[in-house]
Amino acid sequence: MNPEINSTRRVAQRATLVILGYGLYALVCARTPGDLPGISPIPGDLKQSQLHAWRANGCQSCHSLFGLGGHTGPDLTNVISRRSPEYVRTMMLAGPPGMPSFQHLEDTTIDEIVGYLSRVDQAAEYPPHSFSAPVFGGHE
Amino acid sequence: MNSSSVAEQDSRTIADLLGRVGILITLMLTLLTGIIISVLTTRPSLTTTLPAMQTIRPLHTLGTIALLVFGINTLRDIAMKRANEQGMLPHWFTTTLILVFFISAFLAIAAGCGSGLEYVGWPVRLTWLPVGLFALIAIDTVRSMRSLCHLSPEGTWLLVMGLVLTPLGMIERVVSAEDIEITRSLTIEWHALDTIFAGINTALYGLAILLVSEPEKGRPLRARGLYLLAAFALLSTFGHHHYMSGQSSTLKWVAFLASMLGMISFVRHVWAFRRRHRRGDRVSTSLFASASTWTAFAVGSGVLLAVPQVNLLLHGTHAVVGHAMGAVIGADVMIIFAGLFSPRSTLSNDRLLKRGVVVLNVSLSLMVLNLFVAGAAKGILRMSDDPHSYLSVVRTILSPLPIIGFSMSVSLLILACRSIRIRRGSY
Repeated sequence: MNPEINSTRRVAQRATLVILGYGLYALVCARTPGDLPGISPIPGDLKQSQLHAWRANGCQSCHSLFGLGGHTGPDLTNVISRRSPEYVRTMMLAGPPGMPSFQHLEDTTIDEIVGYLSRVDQAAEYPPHSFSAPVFGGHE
Repeated sequence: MNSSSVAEQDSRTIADLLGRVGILITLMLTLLTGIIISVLTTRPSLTTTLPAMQTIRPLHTLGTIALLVFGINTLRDIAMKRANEQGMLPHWFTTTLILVFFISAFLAIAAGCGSGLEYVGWPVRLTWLPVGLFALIAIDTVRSMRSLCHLSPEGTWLLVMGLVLTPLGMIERVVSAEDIEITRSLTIEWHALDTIFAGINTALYGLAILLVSEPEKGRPLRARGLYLLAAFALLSTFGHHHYMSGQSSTLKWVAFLASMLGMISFVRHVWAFRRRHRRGDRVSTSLFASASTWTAFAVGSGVLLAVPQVNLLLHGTHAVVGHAMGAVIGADVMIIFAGLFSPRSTLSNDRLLKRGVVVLNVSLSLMVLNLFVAGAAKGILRMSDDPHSYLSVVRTILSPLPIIGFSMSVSLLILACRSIRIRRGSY
């Protein structure tokens, strides 16, 4: 066979294999249950609206969840259990140095953001308290 | 007429100029917003006088992604010309599509209509525009695969892979945007984001190979074992980004294994460094050499960050930003500029340009070092009883960041402006 055609065919085969692998892997990721108890969806619009309240106000621009997001402000994964819902509410209304005040938001929107953070808080511990934290599951 | 002179002649088109101006504009947006972010990070009290982070950060991300997309599109056009391939997709059409996407996304974010999603800060529906664009470019590239393989089969494979994986990652991100189960949503989000950036990097690496390869002498396909290793890493390293979430332990172990195997890739990069990029004009040579070095850094720091105990210390800190800066500016942006300069040999004595490359490398090194030190400080201090106690320390460590960012911006703007001057034929 012409070596040029052979080479083109091998390039096509290799690319196709990776693309098929990607599809398979994406499917596995989407369907594999987590090892820690995730948060079971509740009926109605409440959870979706919590997610939208978090996003619409651009919280992720400065704050991260599980390390994903902005680094200007602190990670908020466990802010509810390590501080309190009231702490979050107060910070949002007061706007401490370096953070804009969200006084203009309606109470329900602030409740939704606090509710969203409460749900994230239940998902896992982050950042960990020590370097011996169990990365692959199990106990410290 | 040889293939490189054909490339030189054909690059003198309006579409090519538009692509280079697009690179300059998106670069300016990225640099301006980047400097504002660094100022706000170190001096948060300026929040009231500077534009809000909710607008600035998505614009910064948009600028970066649009810059990389413009770069891929322009470099692919040069590679096609080098392969004496016309293609069915006119360069002006793809460039205009990117411009339309960029302007629409910019206006939507500036008007406060962004999605609030990480890295995909524009309205979610707009994502279908770059997805369609990548699909068209991928189809056109596959049609020209034979000619491109003539330059380098390895480069062609990487380019096609990158052009397909990038839109697939975008689709995954858009489809999972409304998922409300937190652990699964995080898993998919990291998988999608990793795929988007892996796709962009892969396409640019492929283009770099195609632009330095001589016909029939280009790099052949890598051996089967290395191919399987690359495919495995490409698909599964994402899991190390969230070791601490409730994702499946199996995914974590697979990610850990794939990431550690990245050490082989790191060693290969370092090993190959001495043999590479010794021909061509000096500016593009030094840019390609810089890109090689920064690629080795990106792979090496990626492997390091995937070590579980190091991950606990550094993940979610500025160290990850440093890793990303090395990968995007050090590897991707340097490849883009090296590619823009590569058809021209007369730039070898441009002093300003050569100094720009040196300042860029020095600034980037200082920035990455600064970010890693700040990240380590944050990683240690956040484990204390008061998890927010690190803020003032980290801000102090990061205080040189705006100045470093400014010097890096100047050097990048010199490269971008020079790349347009070439187009005008002023030398």
